[in-house]
Amino acid sequence: MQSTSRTSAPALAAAVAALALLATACGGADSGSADAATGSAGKPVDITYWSWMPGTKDMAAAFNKTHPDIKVTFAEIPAGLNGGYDKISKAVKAGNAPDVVNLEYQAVPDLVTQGLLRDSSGELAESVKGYAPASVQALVTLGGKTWAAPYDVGPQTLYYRTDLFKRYGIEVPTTWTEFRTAAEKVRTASRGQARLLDFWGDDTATWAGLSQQAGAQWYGSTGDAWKVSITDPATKKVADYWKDLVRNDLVLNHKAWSPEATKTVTDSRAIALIGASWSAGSIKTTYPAQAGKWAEAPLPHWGTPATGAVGGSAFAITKDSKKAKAAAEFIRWATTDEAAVKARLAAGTSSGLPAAEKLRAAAKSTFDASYFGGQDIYAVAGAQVPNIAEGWSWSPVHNSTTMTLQAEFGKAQKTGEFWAAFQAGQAAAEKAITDRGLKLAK
Amino acid sequence: MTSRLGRGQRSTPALFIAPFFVLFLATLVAPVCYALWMSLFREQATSGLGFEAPETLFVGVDNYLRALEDTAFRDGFLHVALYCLIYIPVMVGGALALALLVDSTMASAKRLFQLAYFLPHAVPGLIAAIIWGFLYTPGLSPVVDFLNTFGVEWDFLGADTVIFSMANAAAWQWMGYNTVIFYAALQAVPRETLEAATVDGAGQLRTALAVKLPMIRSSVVLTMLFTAVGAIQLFNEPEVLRAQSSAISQNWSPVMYIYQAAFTKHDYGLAAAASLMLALLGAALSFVITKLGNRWKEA
Repeated sequence: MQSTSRTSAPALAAAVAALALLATACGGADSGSADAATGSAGKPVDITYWSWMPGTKDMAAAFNKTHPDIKVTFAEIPAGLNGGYDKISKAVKAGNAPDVVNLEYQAVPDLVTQGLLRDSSGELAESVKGYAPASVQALVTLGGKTWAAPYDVGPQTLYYRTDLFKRYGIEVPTTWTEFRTAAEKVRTASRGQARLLDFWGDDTATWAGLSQQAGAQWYGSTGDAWKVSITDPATKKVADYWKDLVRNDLVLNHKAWSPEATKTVTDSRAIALIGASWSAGSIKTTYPAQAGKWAEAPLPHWGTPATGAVGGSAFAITKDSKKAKAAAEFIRWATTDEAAVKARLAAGTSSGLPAAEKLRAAAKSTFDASYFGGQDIYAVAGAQVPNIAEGWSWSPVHNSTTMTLQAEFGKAQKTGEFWAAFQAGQAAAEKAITDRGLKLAK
Repeated sequence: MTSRLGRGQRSTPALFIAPFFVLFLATLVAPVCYALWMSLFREQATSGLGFEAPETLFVGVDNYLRALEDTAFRDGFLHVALYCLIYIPVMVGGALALALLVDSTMASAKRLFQLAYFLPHAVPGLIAAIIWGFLYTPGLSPVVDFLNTFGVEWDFLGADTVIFSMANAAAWQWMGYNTVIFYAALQAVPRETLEAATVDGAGQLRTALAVKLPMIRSSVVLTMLFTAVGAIQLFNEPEVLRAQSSAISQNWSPVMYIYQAAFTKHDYGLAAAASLMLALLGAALSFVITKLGNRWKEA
């Protein structure tokens, strides 16, 4: 027995050594040197950039071609909530984070309060003020500091089938009252075969946009505390409106992005969609057989033209980047230079609307709008940007609140009792804020 | 014994075992210890709005209590329990029935059936769940269309029914696999015993239920053990069907809850605490089922 334990000593040592080797292999690889804040053509500054968004790799390559003093190394990461943000968080903690990252607007407060982003007021504030609409600036400004530079903006719009609107004898509704009348007409005229819309009643993003349009402000801050107002009167108005439409069978209500929802549109059983500027690209690829039959229009409103914003992303510098100056130069180029937009959208499948108005012509030139019967969809969406309701901001707990909202929306799919979901969402958001040690304003 | 083995000879076995222990330590023991460590801490904001980097605080068992207090976490276990109640009897019962059928003296083309039953298991679980998702979707699914032609309206993705759809997808995948295990066990039943049963006048059915079944109960117990422990880790089917059904929340099962706690809420302490409790439950479940199984075997 004794001999066994003695002989295993070298084996154990080998095991420990192997473990140590494994550990060193996993760690290490600290990127870049601390010096070289400004580069030159001979010795460019190396910065790293992480993104998952289509076309960003080509954009980085285009930057490198024209900027000999800065070299951007691109790495693709998983999409935001699918692991991308987590990867950024781990990298910042491990001290090997990239200098520049992309992130969605609703993730900005979340990443800021995790201490992952750099207060870039000095590097980016001026540039952002120069090109971004106020409603979009608000999404990247927290506590008076600029944390990211907006790239695109997604005003909510209505997409509709021109052929079927004609067949069922309806005009494009401009208000929600007209929308309800049109919904009744479609059901009657199609003998119950079609509905005006497949409402994605479990999609928090759609709800947020519709609520914003009605004047809601789900999150905000007063003094040094976060405020949650998901159950404000404006949201109630929106919830009641859609409850009426769902319960009276005037719209369909399938799960957002589900194959069932796609099939409904393919079969012409839903003849309009609530989307955003960027939806044009996905409609074109999802329903190729309906080419020439779609058009975009402003979202119906509550009396005065207004809309919400859905989606959109920004560029940010990470907390401990030692090359913030070079990083900021890259970001300014990526958000305000036509060459950046052209390179990024070269694939021609994206209908993303740049936040900077002067880039929209370049973006438009990459997108073949013949699918939309040659309609100038960039003009339609662009005209809606000034109508985006101001005062909307996200909060650090929106992602976890979405979980609760979505689960509760699911329960209301048939009943239309959406209001209960918002009440649950309010409670979940408040709990999440105190859970993280943040202050909640009552 | 010591005298007959030289030093070199004695270290040889250790060398062969070492790779196992290295991997065991690095991929299981070390992560478990790290999770244990993580479960004692929690990130907290240092200011009201939290714009400064958060600090990590030692919170003791607070994360465990938070998980247990969370109805979403507890509901996850209820969901899995309900799923097991549906899934295990169907899957194990079905596998047993198929194995006994293939083993019966009347069966022909045994090899073909063995292979056919096993085939679904060759399809990766995620892929299978995606395909089943399509088969459950009205408008796309021939199954739903077929049922509709007979006037049957069955909502595979509804709030009350989606759990059956999930169990069905899992049963399809695992029934054949367990059939093969049971069939192999049945091969080991001594032919003399079966002959004796026939001589004593037992028919096919009687032989199957009164002779064969009791003789393979240890593999049945083993299968139940693996299935139950596997079921508490339920993730693939609900996560994939979630894209099709609004009835499944993002934290429907305990593993989904842990996944969301870590990757959506960045609450690693909570995720670690919940993982360890889930692992503990798995261990306890294995222990109880093994004990019960042994008692049954001895009886």
